[in-house]
Amino acid sequence: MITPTSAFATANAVNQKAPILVALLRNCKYAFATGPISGNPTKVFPDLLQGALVGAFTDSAGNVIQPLALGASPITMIVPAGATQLQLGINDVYFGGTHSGSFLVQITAGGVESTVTVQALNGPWLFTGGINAAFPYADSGSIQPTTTCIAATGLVAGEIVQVQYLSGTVVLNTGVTPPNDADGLQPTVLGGSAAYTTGATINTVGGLGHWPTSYMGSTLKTWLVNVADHSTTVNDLDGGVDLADLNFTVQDFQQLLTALFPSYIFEGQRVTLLMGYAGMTIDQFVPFFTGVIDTAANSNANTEYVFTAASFNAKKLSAKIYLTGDDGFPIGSKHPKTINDHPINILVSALGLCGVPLSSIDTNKLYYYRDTIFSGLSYQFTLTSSVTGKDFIESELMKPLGGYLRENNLGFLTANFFYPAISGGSGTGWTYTPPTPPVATLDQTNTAAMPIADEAALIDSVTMRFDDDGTGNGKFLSESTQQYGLSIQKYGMVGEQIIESKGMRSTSQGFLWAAIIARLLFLRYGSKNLLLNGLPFFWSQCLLEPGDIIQLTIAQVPNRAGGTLGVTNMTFEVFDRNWRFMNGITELKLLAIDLSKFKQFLITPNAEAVYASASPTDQAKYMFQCNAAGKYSTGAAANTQG
Amino acid sequence: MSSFYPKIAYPAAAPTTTVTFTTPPVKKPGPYPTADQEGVGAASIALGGNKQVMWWRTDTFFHLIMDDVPWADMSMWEAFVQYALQGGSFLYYPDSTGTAYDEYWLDDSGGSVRNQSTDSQLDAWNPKMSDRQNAAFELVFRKVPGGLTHA
Repeated sequence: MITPTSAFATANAVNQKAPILVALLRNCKYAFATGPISGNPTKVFPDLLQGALVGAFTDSAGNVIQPLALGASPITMIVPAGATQLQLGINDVYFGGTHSGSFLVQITAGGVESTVTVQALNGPWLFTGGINAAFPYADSGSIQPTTTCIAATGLVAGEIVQVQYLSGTVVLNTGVTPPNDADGLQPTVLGGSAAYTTGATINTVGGLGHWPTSYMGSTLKTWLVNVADHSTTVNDLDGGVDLADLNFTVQDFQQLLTALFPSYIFEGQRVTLLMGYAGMTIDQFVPFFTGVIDTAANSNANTEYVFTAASFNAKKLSAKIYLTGDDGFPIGSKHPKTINDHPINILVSALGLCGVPLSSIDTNKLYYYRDTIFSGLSYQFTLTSSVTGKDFIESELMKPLGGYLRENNLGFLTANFFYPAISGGSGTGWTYTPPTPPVATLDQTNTAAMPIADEAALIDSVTMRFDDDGTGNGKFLSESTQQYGLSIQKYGMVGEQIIESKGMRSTSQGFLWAAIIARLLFLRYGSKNLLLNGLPFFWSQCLLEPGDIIQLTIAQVPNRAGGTLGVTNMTFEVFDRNWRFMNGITELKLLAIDLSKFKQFLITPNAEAVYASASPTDQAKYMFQCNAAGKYSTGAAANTQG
Repeated sequence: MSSFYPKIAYPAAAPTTTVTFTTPPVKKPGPYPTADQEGVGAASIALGGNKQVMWWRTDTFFHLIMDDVPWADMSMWEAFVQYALQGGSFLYYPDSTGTAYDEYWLDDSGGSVRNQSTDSQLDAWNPKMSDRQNAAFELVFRKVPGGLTHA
């Protein structure tokens, strides 16, 4: 479920809504809204945090011509009139001696590529000789920077400059604060997502003065005409999710948008769609989509622009990865690439090879699964040709693990697994608390149309092939076929799902996981489960995401299991979602699942007391020895695998 | 001229031209600023009867019915409509001698368009004869949200 601000949650819960949408494009002169925002702010500031990469086009003396919000996203800009150099630095208000680390940044200017190192103590612009009085930062008794990174010189107006953060982290208070990347995110501690919620903006004047981002705001204009419906389609059996492009229409008021084209390149810019309600300040808005502008088309007799924005990170997965073999030569049958690691580590590594920064990966959740549910699992690949990132991740990692990769509203890549996370925890580099199901209760008060009961396609036989022979011929030495006898008896037919995994090994829990994944698939698809497709709900349900567990009570939906009309508190998993922004409708595809049949108990350790003497916590946690009737010595129902 | 006749001044940002009313608008629904209100948004009804309203804004439309405009005034009105059809905003003073005004756009000039193209026409103004040497026409003004105003 998308995490809302408290103000958003309150306003979203009522049926009388006055919504406001804002499209924020990085470094654009304007931000586009559907209406005025509480407090009538004139500007919206970039979603960069403390410690992020910022910069400025300056003249040769360092006078600021145009401040630049950069971050970790690649950005293409046009040199403004009067500017001859590009300076880079850190978004901070204190440049004392406790800073450490650096960013490696690639600059392309005049068709020439170079890399520069931005030190943690570099400011984006300086104040030597009294310059830049109009752009003060760290200006309230703080320590101002004495150095900047001059990334490019000799620029001429109209020249194209590209800036691409490559790697590195900075620490703003060594020994106290964790390292952050060029967006200001702290991947090693919080896994990114926890640190970045609502398009956080830093622009206020605090105790240490202004932030550099105070000068990077976009003037708010109520020119946003329409935001088209936006869909997310789950392909859980194929390991992925299709995130549709976002289309929004902006009025070309007094041709001011057209006037931007000579000085601003829309294509490739990071865009965030924020939503809030009347009475909320901009920092209380919630990001619904993060992407990059793909196209800017004219419409309505050339009085409007329709912008199309693609996903932010998922589109990077079209990259080819594993281009070289272990010996450094181009990959081939004689130069294979071998990978031997935990599949979650391989996933994170593959995402990185596709260009997804670690801070944009939901490592909290992924590492939780790695270190708990998938603990001890190892995949071994011998690749003889390069692969497309998306294909490899979805087919070779997510499908065998019983999961699917998806991009969330913040542009982060996360995963949902069929194996539910019941309890959270923390480990090295991760802290994860799964949502407590159900995250929402849906009924006739928020359902906008009669649900038509459908049934999911039947899967009652799962064949998992693994132990790839390494020849590159697609031969698997092991195969596990699981069948759901109850379903086969009932329907007299078989729907088969075949999963082939080149990385899964019988020596590393292969047969165990083949059985578990089959069991989990049967719980989703083994009983022709109830499927509700495209069911419209009130906008109060807009925060639901694929993978969320909800409960539904509708009196007119046939309950085939019970033979009655009406379902009460039936558990569903959210699959597809379609936001109809302008109508205030959230359409959901819901699949009925019965997780009560999937029990999670631990094997009782040696030192554990017998059931009758064990603590209530342990009684609920472990599988003690029971009798053939599934009862403990006290008569209590035993903890079994069901 | 009655002191309660309205006037129009344009352009709104820095008025240089005034439309004076020789005759007042007629069939007013009430004292100014009584006007048409139009909610923009979407309403949904849940299975249980609950109503959700997504309210984006309320548009205010001021309907001006002019029944007896002397021909001598028509060049002044034509110039105004020429300006307003191009999207320029203007100030409407309900009392020409007062200081109160609101900013409007022309939303509907009451005529029927002759151009067949569906994406290039804006609006049409087709004044009619009302009686001897007098014209009649109707205009609908759309209030500029957050526009200029004076009490």
